[in-house]
Amino acid sequence: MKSEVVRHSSPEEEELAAKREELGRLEAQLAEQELLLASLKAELAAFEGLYLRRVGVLYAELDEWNARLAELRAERAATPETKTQAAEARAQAEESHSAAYGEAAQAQPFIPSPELKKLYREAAKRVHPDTATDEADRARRERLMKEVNAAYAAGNEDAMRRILSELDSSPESVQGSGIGADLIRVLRQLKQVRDRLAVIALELADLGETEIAKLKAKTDLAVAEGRDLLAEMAASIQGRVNVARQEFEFKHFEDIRNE
Amino acid sequence: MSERNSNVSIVLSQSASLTKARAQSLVARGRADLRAIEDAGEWLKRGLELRKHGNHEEAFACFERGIQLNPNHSEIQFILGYLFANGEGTTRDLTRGRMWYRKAAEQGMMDAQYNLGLLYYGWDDGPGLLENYKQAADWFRRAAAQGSEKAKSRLILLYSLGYEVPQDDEWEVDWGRRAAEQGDIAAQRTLGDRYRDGRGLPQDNAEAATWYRKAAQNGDLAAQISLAEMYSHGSVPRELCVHFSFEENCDDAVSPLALALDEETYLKHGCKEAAAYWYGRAAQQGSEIAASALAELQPLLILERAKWTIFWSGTHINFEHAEDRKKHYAEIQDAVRVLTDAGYKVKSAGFGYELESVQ
Repeated sequence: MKSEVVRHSSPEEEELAAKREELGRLEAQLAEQELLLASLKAELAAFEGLYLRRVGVLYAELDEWNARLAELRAERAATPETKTQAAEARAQAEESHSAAYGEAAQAQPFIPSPELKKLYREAAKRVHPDTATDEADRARRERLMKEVNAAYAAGNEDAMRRILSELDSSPESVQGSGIGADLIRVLRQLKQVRDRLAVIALELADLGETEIAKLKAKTDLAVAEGRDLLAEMAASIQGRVNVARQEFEFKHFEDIRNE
Repeated sequence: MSERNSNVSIVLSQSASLTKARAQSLVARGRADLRAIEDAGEWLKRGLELRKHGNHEEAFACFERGIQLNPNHSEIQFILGYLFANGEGTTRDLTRGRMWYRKAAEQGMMDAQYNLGLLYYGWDDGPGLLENYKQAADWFRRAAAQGSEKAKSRLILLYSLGYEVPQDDEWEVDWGRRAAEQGDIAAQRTLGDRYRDGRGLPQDNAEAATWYRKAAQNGDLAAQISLAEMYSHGSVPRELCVHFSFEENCDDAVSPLALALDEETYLKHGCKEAAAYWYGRAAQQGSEIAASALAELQPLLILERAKWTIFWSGTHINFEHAEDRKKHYAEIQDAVRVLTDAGYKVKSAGFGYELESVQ
């Protein structure tokens, strides 16, 4: 009978190996979900930019004419009521203008390359703040994750590679000593990853309920019917702009005539 | 991160979230408007469906709901203009009709511009007939600029009525001809008038008859009467008269008596058969002038038909069936009687007869 020296794993070691495997699987899943969330956010931001440039600017123009009209009315008959209306209309016009010409309107079309997605998955897996071992590490990872998301939204592959190389050069987080400590840490990380997955699921659901997501869904559906919903909306508001402008000009010239 | 820096970043993120909220409210506004636009479209659809089934009051209510939701819907504006102008589903109201047409017209809708022109054309309400004609001309001109041939011929009519600044004849005729060639009936008749009277064009009876006939075939009463008069006076050139008569698939392909007559006689008597046909069409449409002209024409027409029968009288032997030969022979005998009674001399010739003297 041959005799071999076989190193039997202890039950704790087996448990640790199993949990590590599970953690690896969940982390991959988490990276996937983070990618989904980041992509959705970027797509919605891009669509919002498009909407503001094509439709929002017309609302801003409409509100501008309405504000001028209200101010003209307040000039003619200065009552507390007309003054309030003029002030409200002016505030609305300024609000619409800042929205239509603000930062959100600058968002460019978002089409991530496969390479960018790959880099994101990798970065997300390695940076993830929920897998941090201590508070200092967590803060660093949170900052990096923000940078990863920003680089992804901007479609910046180079920035993404830079973040990855920064991670490579940073010292590995010190592992705890002993199987028991390792197991506890892995179990805690597992819980954090699960929590984060739940949060992402909620965030995805909330995003789907936003006005911009609903408008985008409707617009995408209309494209299948060969319709350009944003163009239809723009045409309709343009009609209202024309009416408001004509009314203002009419009233304005009426004033000039009466002078 | 220092405390100062974190304060700055809080302010920044607050202003960023404010801008974000504003952008969101613009999106929400767009969605609400979009819903209203789509609901308006649904009301339009429902209204059109009800109208198709004759539920005019309910249809009208649908269009009103639609326009409340989307006051810029040019199609609904146009329909409301029509309904008010015609009192369909609501009380007839010229002012409201014009108002709605104007809204659609100002958005550039060609049909609304034309219909708005029509709602001014010929009405003497408001500032009066002359002012309304000017309004009509303005709207016709806008529709014409978009290529509406109907509007172009209406404009020409207005000019010819003298209500508008007279335009250069050549331009007007050119415009009128284009409208006529596109199948506009009024323009076809007008072009016929111009050729007949030599207005803006060299006088040309053949052209006049050709254009009158086009309008007449399209059911234009005035053109039918004018064409009948031309036939009756022999002003349609003889070859053309024969040509029209032989033209295939034409309901006015009447017996071409013109063939039987020499040029001189034709010029004197014209083609009563063709004249009677067009007076008849006009009389069917209720024209009393045409009906009395047709009655006046009857004795001459009988004579003409008799002459026609005599002209072809030698051919009865060509009929294959004895029945047909008999029938034709009876017709010839009738014709001989009519002509003899009228003082003509009829003599045997070959297998049939001929007139000794053609008057």
